[in-house]
Amino acid sequence: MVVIRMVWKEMWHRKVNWVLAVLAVTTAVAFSVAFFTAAKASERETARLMLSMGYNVHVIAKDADAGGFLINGIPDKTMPADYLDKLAAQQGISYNHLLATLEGKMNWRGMDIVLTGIAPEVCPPGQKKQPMTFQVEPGMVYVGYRIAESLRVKEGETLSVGGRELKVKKCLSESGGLDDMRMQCSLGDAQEILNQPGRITGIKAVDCLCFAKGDPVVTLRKEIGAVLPEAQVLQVKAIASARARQRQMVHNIFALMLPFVVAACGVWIGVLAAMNVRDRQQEIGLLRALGYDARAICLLFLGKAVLVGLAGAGVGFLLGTSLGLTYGPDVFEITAKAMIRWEPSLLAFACILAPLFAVVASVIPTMIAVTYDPAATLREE
Amino acid sequence: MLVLNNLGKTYRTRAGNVRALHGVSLQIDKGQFVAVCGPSGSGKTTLLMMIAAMLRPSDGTVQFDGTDVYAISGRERARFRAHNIGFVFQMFHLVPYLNVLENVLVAQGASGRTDRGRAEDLLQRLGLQHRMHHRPPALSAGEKQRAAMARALWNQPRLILADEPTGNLDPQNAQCVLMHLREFHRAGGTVIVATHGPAAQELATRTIHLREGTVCA
Repeated sequence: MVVIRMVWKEMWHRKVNWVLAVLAVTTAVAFSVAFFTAAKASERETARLMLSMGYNVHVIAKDADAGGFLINGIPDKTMPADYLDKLAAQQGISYNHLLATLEGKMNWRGMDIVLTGIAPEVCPPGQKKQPMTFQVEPGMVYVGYRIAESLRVKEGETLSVGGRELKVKKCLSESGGLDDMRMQCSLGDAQEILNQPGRITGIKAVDCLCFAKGDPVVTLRKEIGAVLPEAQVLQVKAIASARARQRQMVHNIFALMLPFVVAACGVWIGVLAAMNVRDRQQEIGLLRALGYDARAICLLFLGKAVLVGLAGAGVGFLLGTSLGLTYGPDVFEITAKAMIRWEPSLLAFACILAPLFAVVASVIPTMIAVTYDPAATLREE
Repeated sequence: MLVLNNLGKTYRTRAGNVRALHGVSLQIDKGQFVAVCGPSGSGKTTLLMMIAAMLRPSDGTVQFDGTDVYAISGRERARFRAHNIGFVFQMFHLVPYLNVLENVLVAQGASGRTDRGRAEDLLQRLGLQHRMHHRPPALSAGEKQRAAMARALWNQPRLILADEPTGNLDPQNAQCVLMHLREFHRAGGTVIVATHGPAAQELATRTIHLREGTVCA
């Protein structure tokens, strides 16, 4: 009689014990899967909102007037362009989508405009992403709506700006903001026109700290300050950040609850295993009498734990995914339901971790079973 | 075959130490049918468990074919039991979730032998062919004990230890069980039976009387 066959038969014989044990594993797995499914969707949602917000981190020269920058949107001081390379070379940092710009006010054809030179967007190592903004080729210019309207600028036209010839790539649609008064060209062209070779006024970035603990700007200042002590960091906070904070709070509450739920389920499995061992004292004594060694007795109980874990992993994954898909959007404030989806990787984790969890929870009762005195159990009537 | 040398066992309980057996020295040869008699609490079951290498003595040694069974490792002792000893208990001790045939085959898991046909033959000889696929709760006491007898015989042991094997049986079933023990004995096997009943004593080639943990006759 193979021990595994005995495990199988015993499970069907004591269905209540087995079902309750599977229920315990199912609870732990379902809670974890629901949490991680919703949490992953929550992270995706936050990332999406942060991207749609645009760049929310601004690195400007240390001596620039931060107040003036916030009022005008243009830093009044420049810094070396190689600051971008220094930031881009860092690993394990909390920002992305680095964009160096040189901005300056000038008068063009009798109109006060902002000339913005844009360098190609770069990403730190290992964080390759799609650029968030258009790239401007040298010799090309994007003209803001108000300028194009007022000065009758047409696409394909060649303009003379500060003594340099630039071809109009596109006249931008109305934004209702400073962009309507901007002409955007390549960084090199802007440096030449504004007579600021090798200089930039700022670096824009997107932070990746939606789920970090504490104030993100403190972390960013610490990280960027270590690389660029000659710069200052400003973070634009918005509704999206507030939502991210709210999701983070829910995330933290669940993350706090998770170990307690898992531990309670572990105790539950352990108690059921202990009851099972107690019910089977005489069977254990008999098997020892028939020559089954400690390893076989362990296999009898831990084998059952593995099967319970696998069953709980499957059921728990289905239940947890259903719960995550149903309630995740409300609990985690995920506005786009399409963003939440089932996570196949969690099934793989569940199938590995749940049996391991059930085995760990059953270890003490199994050790008790192994140490039972077979003579004592067989003597009992 | 079996040499017990100054065997003693003291159980430690909260109420104090209980000396179940002391100073037992015996030699049991191959092919003997030994009845161990004595009142309840005289140490019969303790003696059988110590012979079975399942209960470590407080004093003395148990030698089986010259090997001290308590000087070897627990795993070797388990293997020793699987290959040499068959058990019949008063309370049958059948595994409740296995059918009769599987209860006989339970012994194969430990011995490594696989012989389903032999198990079926044994059950047929013991009159349980129609009960092979029934579980213990569906059996009568006599059928349970015959199933336990088949389990004890399945691995062709050299020694059968039977603890009050007829204690819960009607005379007809008791006779059946004893008949199979006698058959095993006639085929050259050694049998040690702890018993109150006279029937087993009549079959025995030797009777040992225990009183208060010592051999008195």
